[in-house]
Amino acid sequence: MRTKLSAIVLACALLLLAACAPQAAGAGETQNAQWLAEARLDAHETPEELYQLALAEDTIMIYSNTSRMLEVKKSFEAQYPGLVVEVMDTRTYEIVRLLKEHRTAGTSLCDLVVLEDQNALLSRELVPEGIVYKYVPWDIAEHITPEHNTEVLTFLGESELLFYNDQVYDEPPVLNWWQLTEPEFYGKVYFANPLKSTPIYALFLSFIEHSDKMADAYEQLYGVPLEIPEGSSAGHEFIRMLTQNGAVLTNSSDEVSQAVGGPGQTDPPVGIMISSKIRHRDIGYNLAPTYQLEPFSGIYAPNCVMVAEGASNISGAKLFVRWLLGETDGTGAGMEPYLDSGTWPVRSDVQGKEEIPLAQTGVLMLNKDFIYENGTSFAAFWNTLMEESGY
Amino acid sequence: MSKRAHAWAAAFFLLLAIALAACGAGAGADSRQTVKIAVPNSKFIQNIETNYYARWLEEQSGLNIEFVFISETNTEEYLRLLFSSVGSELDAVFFSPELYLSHEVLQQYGEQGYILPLNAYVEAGETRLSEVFDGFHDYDLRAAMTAADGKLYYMPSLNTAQLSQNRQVLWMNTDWVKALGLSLPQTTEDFREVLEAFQTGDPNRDGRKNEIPIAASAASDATEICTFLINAFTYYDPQTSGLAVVDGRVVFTPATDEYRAAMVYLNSLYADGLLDFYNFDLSQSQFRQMVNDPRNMVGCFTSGSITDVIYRSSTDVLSNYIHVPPLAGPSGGRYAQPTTALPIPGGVITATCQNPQAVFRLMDLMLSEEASLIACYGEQGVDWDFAATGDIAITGGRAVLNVKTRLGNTLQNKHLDGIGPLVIREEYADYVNWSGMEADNEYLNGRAAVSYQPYEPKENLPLILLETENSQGFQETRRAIEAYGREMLTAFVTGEKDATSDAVWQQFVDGYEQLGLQGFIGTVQAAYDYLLEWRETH
Repeated sequence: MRTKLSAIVLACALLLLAACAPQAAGAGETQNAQWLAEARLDAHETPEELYQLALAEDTIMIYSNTSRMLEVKKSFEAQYPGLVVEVMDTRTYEIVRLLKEHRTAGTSLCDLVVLEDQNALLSRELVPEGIVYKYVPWDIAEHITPEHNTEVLTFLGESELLFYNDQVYDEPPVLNWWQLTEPEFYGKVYFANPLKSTPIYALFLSFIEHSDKMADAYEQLYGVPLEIPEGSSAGHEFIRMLTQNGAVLTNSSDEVSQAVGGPGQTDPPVGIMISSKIRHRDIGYNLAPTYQLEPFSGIYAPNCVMVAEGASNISGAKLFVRWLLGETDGTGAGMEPYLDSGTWPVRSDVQGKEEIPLAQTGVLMLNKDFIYENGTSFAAFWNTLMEESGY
Repeated sequence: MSKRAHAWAAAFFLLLAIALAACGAGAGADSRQTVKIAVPNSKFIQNIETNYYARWLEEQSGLNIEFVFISETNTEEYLRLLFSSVGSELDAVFFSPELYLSHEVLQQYGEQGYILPLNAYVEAGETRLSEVFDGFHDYDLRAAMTAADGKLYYMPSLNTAQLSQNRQVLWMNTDWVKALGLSLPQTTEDFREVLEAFQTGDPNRDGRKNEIPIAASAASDATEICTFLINAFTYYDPQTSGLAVVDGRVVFTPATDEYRAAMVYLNSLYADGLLDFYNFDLSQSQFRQMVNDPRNMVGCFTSGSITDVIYRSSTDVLSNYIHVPPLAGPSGGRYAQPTTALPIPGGVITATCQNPQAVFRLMDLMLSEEASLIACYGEQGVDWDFAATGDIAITGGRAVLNVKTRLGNTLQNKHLDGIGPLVIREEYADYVNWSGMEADNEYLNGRAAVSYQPYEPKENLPLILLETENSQGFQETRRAIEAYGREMLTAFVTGEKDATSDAVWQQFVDGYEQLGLQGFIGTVQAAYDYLLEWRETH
């Protein structure tokens, strides 16, 4: 009898546990495969076909790291009456966190994601794990330059650069990164926290990757070699000296833009930020990028658009990607918010509004393998610096 | 019952017990004492009966709290009746920053015996209220809260944050600025040009002349645009009746040439149709509707927090607006209005209270650091946590709190929306990190606050000096001066009175003198001198 009772209680407990337990991985994979097949990401669909299908779907949910996506949303909704887009405007790190959270929970709350890959989490984790998928419209693919159509689809070319206030300075006040470690710039260099902003994260890792170039630039400026403590590198030393020179950390490039280029300043700081903020000139900010800087001006920091795993509004999502890319002929209004003097188009058939060609900006292309492999050690190094600096 | 049935029953009850325990739904007999507390209704609290903070207070205090909602109309009369009702079972009344009674009225209630003085409880032992008094150095907080009869009648609701707080910020429609190829204005003349372009350039591109260059509402100091513009000429704070401090001396700014120039400027905007008389009469809700109109009809407006006006859920509208730093006037004036920590009544104990000691302990608990964190940010670990190394505050510098879910101005069930005794501590409130959301209102406000700080006056006249001044006739004179100022401001702006006329201006200044301005200034000067002495010893 005691055995039977135990068995009953045990069975009930197991039933309760089973009801509460997450879905088995196998079931999830099957669902994913089924969704992928139904999503038909390689189908040759026209905008009209997608529009008709999208009308039967729900609100298109987009997680985006760029606030201009709200402008794209407006023109998209005007172009396609009856379709509604919701944009959650947040940081790349937050988008990655949310997507992984959705995977764990087995939910699909998002249709499209717009995010950077400067921390390489998109290309090295989200894509291989099937958390996001690339969708390149069949009739637009040939116009996307190959470097922007890799394991991820880039829709916007931007760079992380050093900016100054061109109302106060007639010419760039800095020609070599090491100048920013001098007393003249104490407390006058602004940049976003690299553990919260992926472009500056990638730039700092690039300083480390190209330590030889940084060491040469130091010697070029001061005429003597940089003394590098054992176990460190010129890149690490630059970041350390820059930060300890009273660097002002911000949450985002918007704050950098405000501090550097905000109207009415007499002694503005310089700041490292994403090049697309040049558009703040449109509202009267005084901002100019520094393209000639030793040993390199910055890094190329493009922005990507991907379909989220399990997207339930797939036709709307595809239509939105088409719109964002400027439609078949590249003249669609969806691309307009992203064509300005601080961005470079990813399409070979679209004329951008950039100040100078990307090749002349002096930026480095990213080595995502290096960034992915060295991210953890950089984070530890940075956190130590923060503690030493009182942040 | 057979052994088999016993076994089934045992298994069933065992599972039931497990299930009940898991659900945390133990509904056993409650022997806790019940206190009945009247509170203002808040549209942002889902259900006060299941509210996280309310439950936490019950748990920590050992009391059962029964909330009764206060009528939102005829509040003072309603409360007077409530307090004086024979057989009223109310133990306490909690207030909110939107609905509270003045020090003056509370003293009257105290003198009439409707509410209990708290002195005995404060002096009986160590209390959090005493800690708050000792830790506050802007002015003598205890003295400020003490009525003329020497009694403390209320527990405070006090916000000591300054870095992250805005009194009045100009928010401008960047969609319009970009559409017309303009720049954000820096001076009063730039501002005029921007308004003219807004009015004539069809910036919302709908082909209609429906643009409203400035939206405003005189129903609140923060949304009353004239005050913002006067501060481009001279420092002007309507809350301190136009008084300011320069080099230790209390001065009255409306009687200055700079204020006169501001009146001329405002009248010119009005005459050009850029500042609509309609603005003076709009209610807050009409004003909000106008700014939130999806047709994108408003060029600029002022407010403290941007979400005091734009709905948090309207990310499209929010994304259109950016703060504009204080404007510079022709004579170099360029001022932001600083915030000052001002205790407002958070809670009182009624004369009908059955256990005032227990209610005092509850209200004192609400002043604790732990309570204040829940009262401001919700549940630790869920809605907020302490920040990690390297997190940056929205106002710059190291963040102390990592707020995951913004609960302000939104429907939630984690805190009481500022109702009741509360201390918002600057060491937390001024150092909250950014959630990462572009439309995060705290982030937008924080960025505005950073750009306004450099323009705050060197010396600040704390509003509390005027609020708690009890000398004979002071408050009557204050009310008369403020009413006269408002009336004349409207007259000058609309052109009913001509500020360029020396005779009219002299008459205006004389009007203040006839209301007893010099005596009024003298009283505030004495209070300010005392404050400076107090600060030297604290």
